[in-house]
Amino acid sequence: MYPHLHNLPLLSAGELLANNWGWLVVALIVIFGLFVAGASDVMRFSFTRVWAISGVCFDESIRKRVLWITPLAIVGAIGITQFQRALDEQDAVRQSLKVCLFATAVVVMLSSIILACTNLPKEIESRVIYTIVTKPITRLELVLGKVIGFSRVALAIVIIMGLFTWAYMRISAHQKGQQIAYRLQEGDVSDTERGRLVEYQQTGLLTARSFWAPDELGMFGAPPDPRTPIRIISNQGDEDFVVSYLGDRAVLFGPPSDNVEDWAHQGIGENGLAVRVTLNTRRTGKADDQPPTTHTLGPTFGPPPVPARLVPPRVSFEILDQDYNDIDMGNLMIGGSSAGELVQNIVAYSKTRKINPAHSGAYVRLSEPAKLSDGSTAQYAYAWLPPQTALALFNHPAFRIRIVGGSANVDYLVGTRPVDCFIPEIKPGEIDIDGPHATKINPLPGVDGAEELLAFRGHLGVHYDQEMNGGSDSPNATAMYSFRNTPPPSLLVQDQIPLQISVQVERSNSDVEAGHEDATALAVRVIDDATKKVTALPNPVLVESRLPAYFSIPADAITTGNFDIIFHCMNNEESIGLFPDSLQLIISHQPFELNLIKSLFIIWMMSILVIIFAVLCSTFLSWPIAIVLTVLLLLGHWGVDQLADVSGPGLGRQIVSDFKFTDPALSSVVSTGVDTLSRILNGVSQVLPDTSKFDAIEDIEQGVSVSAAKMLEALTVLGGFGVPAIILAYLVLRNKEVAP
Amino acid sequence: MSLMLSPEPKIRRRNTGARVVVAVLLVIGLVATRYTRDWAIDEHNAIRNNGHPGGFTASNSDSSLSSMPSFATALLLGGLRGPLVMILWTSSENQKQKHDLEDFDTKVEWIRLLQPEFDTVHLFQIWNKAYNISVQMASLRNKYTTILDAIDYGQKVERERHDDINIITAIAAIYGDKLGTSSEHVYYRARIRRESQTLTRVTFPPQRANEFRTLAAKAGWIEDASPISLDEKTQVDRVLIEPSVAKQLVTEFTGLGVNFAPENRPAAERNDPSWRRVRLDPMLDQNGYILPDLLTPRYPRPKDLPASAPWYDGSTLQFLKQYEPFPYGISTLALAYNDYKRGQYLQTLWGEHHIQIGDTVIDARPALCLKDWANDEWERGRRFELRMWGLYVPESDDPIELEQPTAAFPFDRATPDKADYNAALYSYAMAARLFHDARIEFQQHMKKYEANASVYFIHVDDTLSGEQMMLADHDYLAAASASGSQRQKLLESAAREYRDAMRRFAVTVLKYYIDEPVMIKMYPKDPRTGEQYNRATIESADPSTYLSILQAAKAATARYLTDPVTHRYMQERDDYHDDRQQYLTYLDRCANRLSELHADGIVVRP
Repeated sequence: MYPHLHNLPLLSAGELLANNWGWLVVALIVIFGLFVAGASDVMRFSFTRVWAISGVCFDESIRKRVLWITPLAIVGAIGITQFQRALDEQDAVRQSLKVCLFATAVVVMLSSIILACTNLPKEIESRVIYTIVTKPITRLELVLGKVIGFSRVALAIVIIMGLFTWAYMRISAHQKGQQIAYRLQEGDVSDTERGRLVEYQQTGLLTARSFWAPDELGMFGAPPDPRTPIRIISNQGDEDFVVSYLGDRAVLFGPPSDNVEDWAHQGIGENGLAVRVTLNTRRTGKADDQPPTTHTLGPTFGPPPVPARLVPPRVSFEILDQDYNDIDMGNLMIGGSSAGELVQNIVAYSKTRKINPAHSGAYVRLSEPAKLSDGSTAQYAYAWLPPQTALALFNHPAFRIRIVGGSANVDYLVGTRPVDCFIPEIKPGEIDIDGPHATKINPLPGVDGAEELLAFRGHLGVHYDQEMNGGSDSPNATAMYSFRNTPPPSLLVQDQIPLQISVQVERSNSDVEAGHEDATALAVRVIDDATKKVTALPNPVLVESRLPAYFSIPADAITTGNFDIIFHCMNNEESIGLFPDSLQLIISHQPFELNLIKSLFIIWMMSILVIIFAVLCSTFLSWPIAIVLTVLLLLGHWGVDQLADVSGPGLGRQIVSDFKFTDPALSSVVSTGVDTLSRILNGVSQVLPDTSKFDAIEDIEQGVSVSAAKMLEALTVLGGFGVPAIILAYLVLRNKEVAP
Repeated sequence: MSLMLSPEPKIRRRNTGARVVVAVLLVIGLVATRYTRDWAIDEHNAIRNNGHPGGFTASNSDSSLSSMPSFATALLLGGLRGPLVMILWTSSENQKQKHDLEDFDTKVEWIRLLQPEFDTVHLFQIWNKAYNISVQMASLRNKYTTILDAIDYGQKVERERHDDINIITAIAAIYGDKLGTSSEHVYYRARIRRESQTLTRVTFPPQRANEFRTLAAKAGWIEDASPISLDEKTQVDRVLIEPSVAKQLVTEFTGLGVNFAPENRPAAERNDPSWRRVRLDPMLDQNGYILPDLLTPRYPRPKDLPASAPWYDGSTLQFLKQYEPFPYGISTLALAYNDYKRGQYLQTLWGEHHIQIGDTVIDARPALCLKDWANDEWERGRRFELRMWGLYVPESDDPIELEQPTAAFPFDRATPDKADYNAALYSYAMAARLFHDARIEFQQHMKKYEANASVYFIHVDDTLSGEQMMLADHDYLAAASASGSQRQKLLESAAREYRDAMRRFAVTVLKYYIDEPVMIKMYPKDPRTGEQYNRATIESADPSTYLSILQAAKAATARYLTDPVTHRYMQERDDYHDDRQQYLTYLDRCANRLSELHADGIVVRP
């Protein structure tokens, strides 16, 4: 969601081992199976014999009319698509594609599992195996032959279903394309829909797109000026900014100590953590954050008193963890407008050990502007996190300092290095917050060589999106997507670079004009990073909630791969929810056929894994039990993943609480027992294949090009679990007496 | 190379025999299922419909999964119907929470197909789509499409479960509440009016576009609602216009390449399972008459039934036939009235009862809808009146704003826009008729449910005053196009009707919107009995005194609600201010019109 953490410490050898134990197990199985126990069979290995056995398996399966299942699946897929309801033509095509690929996967998996599980036990039972094992064929060749044979059957099914899917989708897309043309011609489209349909008409309903995601999303109170590094956040919590720090214990808590407890009470665990904010402010409306004025009793003489100068606005401090969750709210910190004031407040706190709400970090008033040596001005605010609260940072790999505006109708002007962090020196009678005796903590560096990792965010929406108010409510609210080192787009349509945006729209108005559909409009500008040139698009982008909208920027608006795209919502009483990946640059189009082949290949890889596990189970179990065990092995990891939220630590305590156990001894047994079972379950799932890596449908259904990384992931799982499973099957069969 | 042993021929023969037996048994089972299913449905219908014809029958319905009895579906799905439905419910509701609507409609459709016999499921889904899902759309057009989808869902269910009071009233509620009276109703009402008509497609050479614009605008065409588009293939301009506009244009806009033809939408796309409605189907022909399909009775009226006896004939728009023709389209509130009326007849004549709404509510709905429809026509009439006199037409959804701008206009002020003049006349006449019919509906309902009658007193009074007001406005405008004695007659009747309307508005305020202490202090005594009038009896006073009593009550209210220290009128303590103000605005309009008529020498007794 946000820029990744950098500079994490290198892993130690032990950690490296712990993180890759799975691969070590695989290597051990392979070495033992092939070079220790099965060295002789490896020496005699002949691929011709393997191919011959696979041919037998294939022919036998065809004779069993396995392929007859495909027409049934085709009829089923066509039948199901007759009951679908779609948002638009694209949605209809995607749903049909999903059904076809799902049917393909189901047919392939079912036939693979049944064929592979039943084959060996039936051959042993019917003694057909005698005719094989009495020939000079090794058990390794037998197992491999079976796996390859059934994989060929699976491939045949995949090809048939793939051809059907291709033909059906082509026909379907053609029909839907005609519908789109008709609707566009008749005007049966909304303003927000028109752009989408035109895009589908131009690129086709099946074409896959490759996207390039922006590096960063920033939310600001005013459009960023490309010529200065100053950025603006506005008002009371409409936007904020966050600076990230590495949770390096050696830096925060000093040199390591043998006793962890002692270590945690050094550094910030002893002296606390001091934070200094440097920025400028300007009021944009009526100030409502002024201290109450005192009235003089009795008559006053002379001219009316000149109104007092406005005191500066306030800010609020907060400490977040690496995932942007709260660790310490501002009310657990002590604030001050200057280092001196902070010291006074710390001294006051040290006497009572209670934080005075008037001096908390939740509302700290900024100092009056101070002149800097370069002629500019700056306002400061300080906060101090007491040592006992700072201890919490001991267990976090990173932490972040969040600054929020605390006053309404104020623009906060944020420059570079707006936050400095210190470990203060606290001695009896002397406290140095940010002076020469304090230790400065460096922030994490930002992307693209930036001095610090500084993120500007909007207020959080109910869907965990960042919201930007529209129209006159926030006339200057701006969202900025930054693209850095973007490859030159290979896809240019009439000298335009295409983009896709999908946002969450919340509207509270009913400002309706008859005959107008009142579509949500986003004004778009492009900033070229090299030339600082700003290009405004002539027409706003019309968006509908959660549906993609397509627009393009002129290719000559940018000169390099570094550029920003900024949005402003033009509608009153509406807010736009944005995610960091809401905007995507379309870098290329890919033919449907290629994407379909990639998806089908993933399905086929999955079927090979199924076949391997089925063959392994059938070497030592009867076929019905082998089927059950194969399904369990394949779905085990996925099943535990589904329970991930509930099977974590604390499940035992939760069950004790839910079932209202009152006996302490019983509660302890139940709690410990459930937790142990939960741990075992999680442990077992780690040695089972993660079949979710064989997701062949999601990307192609969404019109996204199936990436090489995704295929590699599937191949890794297949290799990582398939190879040792084949060797285990070989070892079991080698030691099993299947013929006298 | 084959390693399989060939099976023994005897075993193969035995297996084949067993298979034949199983197959025969299956066929017998399927045939038996057909007969037992029909028998069960007949029994169900007999109980459900209380002996009346019709009812939902699978054999009547479309050929679809939902027409299968539940056990057959369960059988088809290998007994997994229940779990499948549970998964679909959970999944679709989760998607709704996450605002992820991709394939949401498919899941809802599958739920409908798998649980066809549960009305509560359908009621929830109709409401779910019309309210929960439509609100997730940002643009009005997409909201409207989603609401149409809810209606489509209801109509599909209704085709499979004919004459189901639950479904019919759910559809009525969407037409009436969601499309008719929600905060976005200005947009929705306009769309329904337009789309209920068979529109006319006009094609013409692009160079005549400006000429078309000028002529069509005079005939009432609004470009924003139906823009001109260029047909890329034929390079001609095309536009869809309403029949009322087309009728005027067809004689004025002629020439080479100009063509007028009724819009013909291909039916093929409807057969596409993924087809989604983006606009309403036409319900009217080019002359504004309801399409015959929508009036074909499923239960023809018995010949021996007296003409006054109510009869439910099962046709889609049975209760709108009496209001034909509809030259400006059908109001969404009219559609709501029609369906509520069907529900009322199913309850009264067939003995059906809604599973969630009480009998009294169902019975009162047609009357309330008629009144809403009348108010809709009233508002439309005002907008046409503003437009015909070339005034700005506010887009506000508050109709009170429309009363005053033309109130003091003389009836014979020049009306450059004849199309709007005719439309205003139509709306006022229709509104008067609807107020009259609504009053009869209310009175019938109050007779049936006497215990709740007091709830509807104010509605009856509103229909009385509304009817007079609309008649007066109609005659006032109609006089402009009449001449001689006919004009005089119309002006006199307009004056009488304005006077009667004023009296009705005044007595309505006196009955409902005067504070108790003011009433006790100000209301006069009945000269016949010597007792002071109160809310319940003030109507029995001499109608010519209503206005003077109201004037006195207004003054007393102002005094009563004035702060003795600051002498400021305390509107915040005036509970009836807004309600009263509405009627006073109407009174002002009537008074203005009467002054105009007085200036023309038309005088009526106060």
